[in-house]
Amino acid sequence: MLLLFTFMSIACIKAQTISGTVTDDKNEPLIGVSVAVKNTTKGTMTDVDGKYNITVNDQNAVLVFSLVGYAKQEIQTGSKTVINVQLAEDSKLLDEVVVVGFGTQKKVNLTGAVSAVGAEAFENRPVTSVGQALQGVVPNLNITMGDGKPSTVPNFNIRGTTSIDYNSTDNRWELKNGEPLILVDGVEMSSTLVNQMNPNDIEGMSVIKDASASAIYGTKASRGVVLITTKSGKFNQKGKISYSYDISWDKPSALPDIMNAYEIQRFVMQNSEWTLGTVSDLDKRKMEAIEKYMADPNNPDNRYMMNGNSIVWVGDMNPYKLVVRDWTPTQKHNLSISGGTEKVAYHLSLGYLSEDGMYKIGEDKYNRYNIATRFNAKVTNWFNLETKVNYNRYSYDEPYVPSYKGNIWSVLKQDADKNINMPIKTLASDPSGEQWTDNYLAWLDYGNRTVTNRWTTALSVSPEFIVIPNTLKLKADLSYLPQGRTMRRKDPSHYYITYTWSPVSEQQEYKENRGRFEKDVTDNYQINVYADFNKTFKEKHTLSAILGFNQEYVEYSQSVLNLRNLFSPDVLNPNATEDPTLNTMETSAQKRTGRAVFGRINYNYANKYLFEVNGRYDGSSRFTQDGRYFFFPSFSAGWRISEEQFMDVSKEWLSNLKIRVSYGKLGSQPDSYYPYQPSMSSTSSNYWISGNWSNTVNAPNLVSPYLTWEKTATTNFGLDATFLNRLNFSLDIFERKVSDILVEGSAAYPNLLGATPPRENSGVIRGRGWELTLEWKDKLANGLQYNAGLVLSDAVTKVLNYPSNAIKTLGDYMYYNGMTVGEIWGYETGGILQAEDLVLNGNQYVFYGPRHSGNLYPGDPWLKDLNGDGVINTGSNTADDPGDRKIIGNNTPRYKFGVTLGASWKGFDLSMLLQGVVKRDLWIGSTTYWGGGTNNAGSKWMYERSWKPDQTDAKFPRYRSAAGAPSVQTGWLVNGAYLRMKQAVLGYTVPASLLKKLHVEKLRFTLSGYNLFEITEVPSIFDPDQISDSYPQKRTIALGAQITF
Amino acid sequence: MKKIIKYIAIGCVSIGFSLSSCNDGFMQQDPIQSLAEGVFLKNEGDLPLYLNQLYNVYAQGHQTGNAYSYSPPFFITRGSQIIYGDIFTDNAIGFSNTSGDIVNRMQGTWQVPSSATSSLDNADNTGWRWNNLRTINYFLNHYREAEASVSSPELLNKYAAEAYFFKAWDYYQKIVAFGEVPWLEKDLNIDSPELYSPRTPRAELADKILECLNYAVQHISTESGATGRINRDMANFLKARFCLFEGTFRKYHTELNLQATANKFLEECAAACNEIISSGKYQLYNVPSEVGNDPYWHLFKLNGMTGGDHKEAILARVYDGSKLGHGTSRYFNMNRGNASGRYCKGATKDLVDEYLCIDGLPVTSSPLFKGYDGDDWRELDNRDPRLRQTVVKPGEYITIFNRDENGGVINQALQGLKYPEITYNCPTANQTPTGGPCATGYMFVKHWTNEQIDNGSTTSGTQTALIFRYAEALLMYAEAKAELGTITNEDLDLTVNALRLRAGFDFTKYPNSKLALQNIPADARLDNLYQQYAGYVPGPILREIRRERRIEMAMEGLRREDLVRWKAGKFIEKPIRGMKFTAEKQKLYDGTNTSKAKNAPKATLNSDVFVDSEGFIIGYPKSPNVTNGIVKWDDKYYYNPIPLQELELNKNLTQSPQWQDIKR
Repeated sequence: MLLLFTFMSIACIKAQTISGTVTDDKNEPLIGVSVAVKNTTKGTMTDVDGKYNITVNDQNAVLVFSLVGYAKQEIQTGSKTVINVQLAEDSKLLDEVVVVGFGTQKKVNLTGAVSAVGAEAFENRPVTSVGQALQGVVPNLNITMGDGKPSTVPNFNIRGTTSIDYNSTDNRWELKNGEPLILVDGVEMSSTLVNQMNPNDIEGMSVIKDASASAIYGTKASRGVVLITTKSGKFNQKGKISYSYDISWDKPSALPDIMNAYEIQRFVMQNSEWTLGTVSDLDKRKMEAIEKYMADPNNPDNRYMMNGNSIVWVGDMNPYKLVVRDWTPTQKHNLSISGGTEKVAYHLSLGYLSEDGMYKIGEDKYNRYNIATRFNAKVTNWFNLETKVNYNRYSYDEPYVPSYKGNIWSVLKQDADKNINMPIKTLASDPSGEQWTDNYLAWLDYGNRTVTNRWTTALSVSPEFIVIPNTLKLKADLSYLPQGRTMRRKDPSHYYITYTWSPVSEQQEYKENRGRFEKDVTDNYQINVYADFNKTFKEKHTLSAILGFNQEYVEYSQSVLNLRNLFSPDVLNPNATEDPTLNTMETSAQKRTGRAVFGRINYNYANKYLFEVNGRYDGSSRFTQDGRYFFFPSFSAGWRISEEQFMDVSKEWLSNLKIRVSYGKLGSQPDSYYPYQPSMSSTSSNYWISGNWSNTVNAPNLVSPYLTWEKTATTNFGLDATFLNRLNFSLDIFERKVSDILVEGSAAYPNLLGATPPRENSGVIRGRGWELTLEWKDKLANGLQYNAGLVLSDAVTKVLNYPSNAIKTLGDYMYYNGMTVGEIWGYETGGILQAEDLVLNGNQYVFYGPRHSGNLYPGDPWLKDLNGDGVINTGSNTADDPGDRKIIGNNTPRYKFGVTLGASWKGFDLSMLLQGVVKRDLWIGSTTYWGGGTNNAGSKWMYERSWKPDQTDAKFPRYRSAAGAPSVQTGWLVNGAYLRMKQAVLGYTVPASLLKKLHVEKLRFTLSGYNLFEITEVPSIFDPDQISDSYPQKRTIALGAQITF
Repeated sequence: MKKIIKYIAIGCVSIGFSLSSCNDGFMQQDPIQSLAEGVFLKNEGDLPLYLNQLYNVYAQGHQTGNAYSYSPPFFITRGSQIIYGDIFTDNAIGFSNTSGDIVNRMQGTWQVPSSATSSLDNADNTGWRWNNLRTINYFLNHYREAEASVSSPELLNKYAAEAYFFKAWDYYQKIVAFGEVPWLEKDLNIDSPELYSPRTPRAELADKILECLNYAVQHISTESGATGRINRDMANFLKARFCLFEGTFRKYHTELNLQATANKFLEECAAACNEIISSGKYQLYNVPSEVGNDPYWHLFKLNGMTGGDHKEAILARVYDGSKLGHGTSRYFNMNRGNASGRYCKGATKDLVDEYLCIDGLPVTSSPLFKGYDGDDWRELDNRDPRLRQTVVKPGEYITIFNRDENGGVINQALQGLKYPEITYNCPTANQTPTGGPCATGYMFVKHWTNEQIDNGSTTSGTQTALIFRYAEALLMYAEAKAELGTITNEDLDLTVNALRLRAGFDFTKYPNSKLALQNIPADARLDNLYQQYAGYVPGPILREIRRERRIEMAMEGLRREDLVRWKAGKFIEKPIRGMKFTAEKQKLYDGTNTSKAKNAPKATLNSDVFVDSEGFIIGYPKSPNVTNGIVKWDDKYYYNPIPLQELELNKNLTQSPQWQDIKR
């Protein structure tokens, strides 16, 4: 024994050089593996051949080999001088570390409901934004795209309906799928800002769904938290330059298929015949003229006919074919440089995205620039510093059409006599000469443009003091985020031909050159200072705690300049107008501040029993002085059953089993900045007094004296398990009850009040649901690696209290006690009436069944008389007396899922993400879906499938004029379930051996697709995610290459 | 070193905590863009600025833009109360949609609305609105806070007087619609006991309104200008209108037992009018003979900022068409119905018949009356000149207006002659800018303008709205004096005869056309109508003054209020008729006359047009609950019902007489 010690002590002082090669399990050399001597600062890295050299002082030295994605290995040097190491890929998900508020935790020790996403979900994907990348990836993280416009910011939401809120644009109370608190590297950001980020810059993301883990963020976190971590350089890492290029082509995922001029006119005439009407002479003449045009469209005389003094246009064009491009290119360039020495690490990334929009006429274009830099330094052994500077900017240049003309995506389906029959321009040979017309496409073309620019800078400095090594740290995040947006619009005067040969201009806005300039600036300062304590006592008791302080300041201001009668629409100068007094200026500005103390205590006994308490004493300037500060705590606990001795028997196949439970009640901040202050707004009085245009200041609004915070109580139960070291299972079941929602004042005040009743904290909603995650990862003996994953989630919300609708009136944006969010009220379809079901009495059909409103004709649906009163109606239109209606379905997507599949073999890899919804009912209310007519294009898809005298067994009822869409009923409720191939990426990595001579570390090519196809019963003329008239969603095919030096 | 760091650390954290415990200025953020309550109405300049918001609420004129809202006091029609207020009375027919529907209160299906707010968009809106009164009461409870900054107490009183003027206007509208309503002095909050006030008795309520008006007259600005701030003349005018209403209402609605107090109001009315008349500031509008001999028609088409220049306007709302405009003229011209206050209107035969002939005699006795036959609208000839300036005779004004050429001209050579399109079934609005159909054949031309800018504008029309005009002051004076029994021939010359002279009557050629107490033409037809429908016959001079009022003020929104105060609501049950659809007219409209020079859109008898046994067009032939063109009146319609929910919430409030009440 003594001898041994002596020997060792001799060896101790004997320095020796050790060398070797580090390879992976395929014997490919591994580059950039960190080789460190344990408990010293000494270290090196492997070179391109996987080789290293290191000097150690004694044989007791232990070498630590580590590389991200591989299991760490420790080897005692002993007397060896050559140590070759083979690193195994790290499939031990158990060691996974998850980012939580102000720190990280081992996933196995989590007690809250947290899902994590790695960089692979964002890198080299056929997506342009973070939102697109996340659809279907995290259970119950709902990403909703309003439309497919390049600049559209998706809505992020966790676990469904969060509250009821007033929409002041549309003047209605809406159930809100509120956004979670989003933090990027600890700094609060909006979804707008996140969507502008370069997805390639993201290292990982945690989604905190329950109150336990989010309570540390206090009042902003009641709807959950998304923590995004961006990439940084690593210490002791060889410098790396990576460049990637992607080019992709987009096409709309669905477009309306409208009938042509002939078909529309044929239907107009058929409709008269089918409904016992007579075809007017004008319609017959128009039909002849259309036929003549279609036989010879190049003859300019065929474009129109005259009816008295009016022009009747009879041309034929498909506006969608004319305005929507088939394939539009998008290019992405990404360059990143990162590396690190022993003391300093750096990361720089540059991104450029250029996306062409879908308009063929009045083209739209989106450009985005991203710069991200990060610098970490170990300044002394007690002080570390991290700084970050990020900048991004986008610009979107699009045609602008005055709002009076309506939304292009619905108008093109309507106004057939303009958008299908009318040319975009008249000819020089026409009586008017060459002029624009009132065709909507002319409005796109004649020169109105809107250019929007938005930019954000994020500056942050994070010093860290190590007070007691491995035990107590003091950290701070100081950040400043200036953001800006400008919008410039030019709106030239516009005269156009409609139905006479003299150009007209119906609105003042069209008669003059106008312009608009908007500028918004937001300044946001955030400070977090916190102490982080972590210590294990007597080996089994681990205590960690965080105590911190937060302060923020947000100032927003906007100025809007409306310019009128401009000399030139291109010169947006308030003085370059014929009458500067017509210009108007609007401004708005808001400020808010907040201060908080927050903390967390974790206690862990022998890694078996886990307890956590989070809390935040939060203050916000949005509340009155007396009610400004509130304390919101949360509690959670976990039991790792698999660590118990009695579980040793199953350790072989069940390496982890944990149950968790959490509860927390959080207050929410209202969205408006000054909800509790009555204020007197100033507006124009709309009145000339003594030749002067006068302004006025309005009476203050009423504010209830009894206001308080909205509160969200979340209870979560979770179960985590790992089987065979390969299969991870995680289940969460939750209930989220939101009470004291500030809703419409109850109608219980007489109108003598003379003001809108003030809002009151009386709404209550409750969401219940669950999330399931399954992950399987394995490698076969032949080298084939594969993985499969499933996320599945569900959430259903009920309205428990909504006092302002005491009589339970039904309707859009009406809520009542006991309502399930998404329910569809409708009739029960009896069937389609055939001619023999009706009796022709004079010039009217009579149906001897329940009395329907309006006249019935063969091909019409008939409805069942559910309440047996002989009449089909809506009763008193309340939930208690809905007439003959009942709840026939629910449009909330149920059982949303995402399936990931991946495999790699010899340089080839394939990954796929399928996403969808298992159950959802849809009523398609679009009137043009049900039919067209004189002034509506109408859907050809429907025409082919609908009842006609010669097609009486059709699936759909009689094709009708657009105004006559059938009422909501069971017969044509669409099964909205779908399965969509969301993303598919096929990659090929060129073998390292071939690249060595080129000094290239990695070269990879990818072929990928986004929204490739769907399996669904939703009619193909709609995108299953967007049953509305808006900028279409897209399908994408992309080619990419990545090279790393 | 470590110790130092420790101290820094502990220091930082404790500073942080001590900061956060403060509830200091950093955490107090007040609105930046709007004024927090308590900082405004402190300075002299704040007072008029606040009052500015009340102008367009009460002096609505032709309203603004093209999104018309319902107009007070009755909330039956949408859009300009001045132009459309007479629709759905015995003056004018008014379709509002394709099926030829009329409002519920004329079908006899007027129901008590369930709530005040839910029916704001409903055609049977109750007008149970209290928001503007709150705005006024807020001012009256706070304006004294500006006392310190105001240079003289009179100035403070002057602005208070303006608020009292609007308060009186608000309550005047409410007393017209509901009779008795709660009198409120304060701006209420949800804990105010006044929310549960009962109705204030009519006598007390009317006295309070009169008090407000007297305060206004006494203290308000005396500056002139119909388009300026509220002045003493406007206050006197409003006072006259209110007092005439209240005086005659008390006199004829004997069920109130307030007849004895009627004269007090009539005297106040006469006095207020007298002050306006004797000031000499105002005179009836006329145009030079080279412009035309139709000054009456010209008066209502005045444009833009000229409203203040002519001397007939006492209160007028002006538009510049750029910052502020309206679409009234365009939609008036289109004469097509849809839900947003564009009416497919037409004059009734009853209105046309009431105009005297040019000789001063009624149609039943004048030898100059040509009858209704032929296809030339001959009944409009030889009549009070205002008739053809109110109802168009084909071949004049709009029927030969050329809108397509630049500028717009009334020129038959250019445009030809377009006869009114006649059909009961009014189509929805579409973009064809030619005149729409007229269900009675009597198309209105009063308020129509040949200004291109107005005709072509959906939102930038500039036609001036005459809200208070001198002619009405003359008529109120005459009526009040006649009711009091103190009217003289001098009064008649000053009022009725002045109006007739301006209209173009020739007193030398037709001496009977000058009204004098000793020479009042008999009109048995009219007396019979009074007897049959109102149950009383006014004296001859009163009948003639009422006739003059109906003619002069036709389509200026006063008719329904007049019928209410005269207790003559049943007048609207007179069968609604249009022109005679004679054999000649049937031929004219048979579809063969489609040339530009003579264009009569096809109209077929018993398909587009339905006539009674004498051949006169029946109004509302296909509307539900209307038979033979007779609409319904019920005496309970003298007061609007109060929404049931309001009664439920405030049990101290009683329902208007005879209307459905809640369980009590």
